[in-house]
Order: sequence, then structure tokens, then C-alpha cells
Amino acid sequence: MAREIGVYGKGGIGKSTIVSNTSAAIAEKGAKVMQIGCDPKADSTNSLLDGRYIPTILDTVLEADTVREFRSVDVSKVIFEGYRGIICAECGGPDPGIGCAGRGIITAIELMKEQGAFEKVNPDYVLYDVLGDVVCGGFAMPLRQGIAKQVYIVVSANFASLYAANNLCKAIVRFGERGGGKLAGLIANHISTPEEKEIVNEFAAMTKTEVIEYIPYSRELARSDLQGQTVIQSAPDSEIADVFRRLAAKIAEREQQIIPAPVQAPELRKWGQSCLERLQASGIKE
Amino acid sequence: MKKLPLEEKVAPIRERRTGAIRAYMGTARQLLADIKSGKLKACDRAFTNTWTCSSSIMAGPIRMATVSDGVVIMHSPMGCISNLSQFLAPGLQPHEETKQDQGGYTPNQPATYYCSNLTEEEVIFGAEKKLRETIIVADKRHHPKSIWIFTSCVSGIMGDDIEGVVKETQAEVGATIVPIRCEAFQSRICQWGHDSAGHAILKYLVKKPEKKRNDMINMMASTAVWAEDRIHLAELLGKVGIQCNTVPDYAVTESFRILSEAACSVALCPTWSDYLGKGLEQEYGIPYVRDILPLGTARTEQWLRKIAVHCGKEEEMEQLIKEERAAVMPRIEALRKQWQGMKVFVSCGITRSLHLPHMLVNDFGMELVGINPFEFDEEAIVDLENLLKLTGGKDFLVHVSDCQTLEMANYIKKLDVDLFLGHRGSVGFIFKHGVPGLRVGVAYGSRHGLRRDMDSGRQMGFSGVLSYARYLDNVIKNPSFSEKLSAHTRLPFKESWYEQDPTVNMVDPL
Repeated sequence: MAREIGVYGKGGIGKSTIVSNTSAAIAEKGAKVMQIGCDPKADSTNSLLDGRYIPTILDTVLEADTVREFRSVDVSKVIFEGYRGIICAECGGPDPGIGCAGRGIITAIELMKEQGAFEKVNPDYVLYDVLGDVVCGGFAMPLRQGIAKQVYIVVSANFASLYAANNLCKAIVRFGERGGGKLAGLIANHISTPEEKEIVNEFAAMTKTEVIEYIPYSRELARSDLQGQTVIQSAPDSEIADVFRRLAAKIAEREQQIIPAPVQAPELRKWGQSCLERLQASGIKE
Repeated sequence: MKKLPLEEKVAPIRERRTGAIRAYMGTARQLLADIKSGKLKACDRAFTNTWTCSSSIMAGPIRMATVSDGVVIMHSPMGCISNLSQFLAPGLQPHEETKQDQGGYTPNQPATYYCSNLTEEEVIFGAEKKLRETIIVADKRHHPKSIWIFTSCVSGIMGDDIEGVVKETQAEVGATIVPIRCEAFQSRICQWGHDSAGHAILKYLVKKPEKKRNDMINMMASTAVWAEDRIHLAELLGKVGIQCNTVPDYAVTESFRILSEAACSVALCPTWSDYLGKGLEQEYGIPYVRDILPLGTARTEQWLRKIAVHCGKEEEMEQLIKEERAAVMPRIEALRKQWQGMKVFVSCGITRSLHLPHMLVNDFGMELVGINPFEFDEEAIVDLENLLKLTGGKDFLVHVSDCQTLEMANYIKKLDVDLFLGHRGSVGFIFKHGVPGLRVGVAYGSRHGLRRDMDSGRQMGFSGVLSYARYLDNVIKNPSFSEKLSAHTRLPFKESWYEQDPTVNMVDPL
């Protein structure tokens, strides 16, 4: 039975980088990993494929001439083997500003299920890398019953990312009540100073969540991204590679189910202010 | 009057623009007091028997498909157009007589409508291209003068840029493209669809007036005002040299273009024409007559006089009124003696529930015990006040409901009604309760529930009163239909329902 993991977080926070590097670190241990990018821009798996962009599930179904053919796409055409045998797939979607990308995610994941892609690959881990915020029902698809069982939210010390994480917690609470995905923890990205660490810790405490790993800013990571690879591949001996190995090990074993306690926006704003005051008083230096 | 936002893409929903409600139970006085004080409660439903779609029904693919030189395109999955095929399945031939009315339709001419038939793929990737192709195909095949595009909930959620497509495609086709934006989930008042249509007609079709015509009026009548009535009124006005430019049903595209040139607009269905009539007043200064409908002799007189003033035909009109009255009044006097005091209930759209009683009370001497308009709004306040004047201040029941038969069944027997006049959606259940009555209103292809002859449903103008009286006479003399029907029908409601409060499902606005 595959461990199905959904990774959410504010747009641009580094979800795809974290998910790809984590996938690579899990695969390094010999497990079969599948990574599915749930974003119309379809670049989640790029660094697992040496920078190659693959045809998306929805690109492929576009080739269908009839409604009947539309739902009978050959899954072998949309799954690609990447670094260390990681199975990569991208949902894809419409061009910006047209159509319904949310519906696209629903259709793409339903298609993968209907066509038996998961049975065929038989992965130990499935990682869903989902677009920014839960903007509509379609992007909540991986949260729903029977898809991603465990959800991680990527945050940073940036207030806007915490705001997005708070909103995501609301969605998780809603779907969790219906047997959908449960929150497993927060992953803190771009954490290089004690102050940044303190901010995400405070946020976690307030929302009754837990930060499972802190990922510092790293030159190797930025370079490997440019190269179209993960640090596990391009800089396996680096410190940052070890951070991802540690994160991968935690994700592989983690069973905790967190019921988050998201707050209303004004309350969050108030917390932001008080957090700043505490930081100033405690004298934590950058 | 609040300015209509014609610069916007979409008409404001009716709840917001006119304060429309779809549920109420009380008396006329209570309703007036409540609506004026802004203290309306329980004016929506938590449970509903009936519903209809603002876009696919009310905005009018059904209506605009009758525009003989137009083509309708529904931008939706197939289901949204299913109502249209159902309504128009018998074809348009039952209305062939409207040929005389509008000069447009020929007998047996089929309605021309398309559906963009959105598939899953198109929902995901957008269907602007398909809409564009549909427009071009429709234009090439039929060479229409107008192409009416109706949006749907799905196209609304996808966010297809309909106006953008229209702008892009207009230069390539001969027809004028009229996009009607109506995503039905926006409003709880399905009549909002009428506003969407009026909004688009004003924005895309009505041209700047080349001349002002004192010899032409706009007669705004939806299908519920059937052909015989429209033809009769047009003939009547024709006698004094006034032409009727009738929209929307069975009109031609040019009828919409020249709406701006008329001496005035008259509403035969104020619910339908509310937006268009006011828009023409706002944009082109064309007076809009909505409070008086030619139902009953007194109201017909007032109606004709009002039109005469706008057209400068007062003298000729007085002569006409005199002649028409002389022909019908003696016979109406006789009827009044027979029917004096008969308790009548009217259940229909605004046109009939708030205006037909003028004929029933004034001409036939009947007593109004209740009305059941489909919706009610601030525009209709004056109509209800007029009805109270008509009854001499005697209060009556007002049940605002769009054919909610469950609620009507609950109270109809307790009301002691001698005659029930209702829409086809409600009469069946009322007849089954043994209440004698008649169906008011006609639908495409099914002219009338009980009689199919041409003259049966006519109500408007002077002779309409007599025509309708003949029709009423049949059922008043012989109520055996409802008697027999009720004797042999098992009703679906439990006895306990009749003891409950019929307003249990009414809630504050959702």
C-alpha cells in the first residue's frame, strides 16, 4: 500500500524543489517513488528529469478525437521515469487565463486512477505537488478521501506564506472531517536565522501544528535547480542533501495526524504583531 | 429610478435591482406594509416544489428562437438546451397566425438553435474557440440577421470571455451577435433572465434612432401573452393609425433595432419588459407604460388613452373607444348579473395575477379572494395598490409562489373559492382538489390545456373580455371536470399536511 502524500503551500515558496529533492532522497533508499505535479504549469518533476519537460496527462488526452477516447488515454504515455526510477507525471492544464484548471486537476487524477496507473507503477510513495493555495475545489482534489492521506504544508517566515498555510489548515480541517487527507506537519523553507525559525515555531504553536524540518537557504540547492537536478543527484555530499535525507526519513516514518487549529485573519494579523514584539524583546539576533 | 448599468457586462440580479422576492404568505395590506418598511420576512424557501432556469428558460433561448431571422446558440453542455427542444418540439406552426402580426414567421418554419455542447475537455481547456466556430457555422448556414448567445453556469465557472469572442468574431459574420450573460446560479429569482436579455438587447441591438415615430409603439409581450391577444391589440391600434412593434416573441431582428424610434413602450408582461422598457426610457427617452394593461374594459380604455397621448391621437382614440364599448358593454352587463359575487382566485405571473382581476372584478362583478403571483417586487407595489382600490379596500390573500403546489393545496379548500384561474403548473392540483377553474396562459405547441380552438384564451382589449367570458362561462356552468377529477384522484399529500401551516418551508432570504 503506497504512502500518499500531498504537499501544499503558497505559490513560489519552493514546493516543487522540496518535493523533488525529498522524492530523490526517498528513492535513494531504494523505495519506489511516484511524483505527480498538480499544477497547470507542469514543472514539478523537472529537476528529476534533468531539466526535461514531459507531456502532461491533459496534453495527452487532448489528442483524443472523441469523448470516449478522452477517458481512455494510455497511461504509459504520461508517466516517465526520472532520477533513480522515480515515476514522474504532470497533470498539466489550460494556458493561463482560459478554461478551468481546477477541473483539469480533478480529471487528470481521476484518469490516472481509472486507467490503473497506480497499480501499474505500484509505488511505495506517491507525492502530489499541488499548486499554491487551495484556490478552488479542483485543487483540493488530492486532499479528498482516498487520494493523499498525509498532507504537508510548506511555509517560510514570510507572513503571506503563513497566511496561506492558515487557510490551507482550514481546508484540511474540512476535508479531514470527511475522511480526507490529514495534516502530518509543516516544512519550513528558507530558514537561515534564529528569528525566522522562531517565527515559524510560534505560528506552529498557535495553530497547534508542528514543524518537522527546517530547510536553510542553500547555494547548492539554487544551483541544482538551475541545472535541472536535485541536490541528491548534483551535490550528494552537501549539507543540504543531508537535510533532505533527514526530511525524507521523517516523512517515510511519520504517522502523526495533526488536527490543526487555524485562526481567523484578524487574529492572525494580531499574532503577527505580537510575534514581532516578542522577537524584539527577546533580542534574538539575525 | 435607479440607473441601469448598461456599461456592465451583466445585468444586476433582480433581488438587488428591484428587491424581488419569491415567497410570501399574507394579505395584500400586510405585504405592502412589509415591503415598504423593509421588514420582509420569510420571503424565500427552504424547500421548493418547482424551479426553473434563469438562463435556459427565462432569459430566452425559447423566446429568441422564435425570432424568425435569428439563430440561438446556447454555450453550455447539452442539458441546458434540453428545455428548448422540449418547448419547441412541436415546431412553431401553432403560431403561424403571428405571421400577420410580425411579418416574420412562415408556417412550419423550424426554430433554429445550436448548443456548443461543451465536453469535459473543453471545460478544462476553455471553449472560446468552439463558440467562435459555432457562431461562424451558424452564420454561414442560415445567414441570420441576429445570433443570440446564451451563457450557462458552466461557461460562467470556466470564465470564457464571451464578449471578447463576440468582439473578435463580429466583423466576420453578417449577423449582429447578441451575447446574453446569465449564469443562473447568481440569482434566486429566475425572472432575472428577462433582465439579462433586455440588457443585451439594449447593448448590442437597439440602434440610435434615425427618426422619431409618433405612429409606432413598442409592444413588449412575452409568449405568455399569446398571439391572438397581440394580433387583436395591434388591429385595434391600427384602426387609429398606430403600428405595433412587438418584441420579443416572433419578432424579426429589425423590430429590436428600431425599439428606439417608438412613441412609447407598453408592457403586456411587465415582468419580462421591466429592464428593456426602463432601458429604452433611460437611453432614448421613450416613455414606458407599465402600470396599466388592457385587461378589462376600464383598463383597456385607460391603456388606449395613454397610448393616444404619446402618439397624439386622442380624438381618434376617443371615437374608437366609443365604438368598441358600444359593441361589448351590453353583453358584459348581462354577464355581471350572472357572476356577481363569485369568489375568484388568480394564480399566474405578474401580468395576470395583478392585472386580470381588473376584468374579473370590474366587468364581471366577481370577488377577489386571493392572488398568487410568481414573484413580487418594488415595481409591483403600485399594481397591488391598484388592486386594493379595485376591491374597495377589501383585503385579500397574497401568496407569492412560483406554482408551489404543495403550499397551494394546503389552503385552497379553506379559501372557499368558486373559480380558480391558474397557470398550467398549478391548475392540475387545484382541479384535483375539486375546485373548479381554468388554466390561464398558454405554452408553445400546447395552446391550451382544455380547448384547442383559436379563440379560447383571448383576454385583452374590449372583445377579449367577451372572448374570455365565453370561455369562463363553460366551466362556470359545468364544473364537472374538477368534480369528476377530484372524485377519482388520490392526492399525494397526507391529511396532516392540510392541518399544518403552509408557510413552514418559507424562510428569510437565502
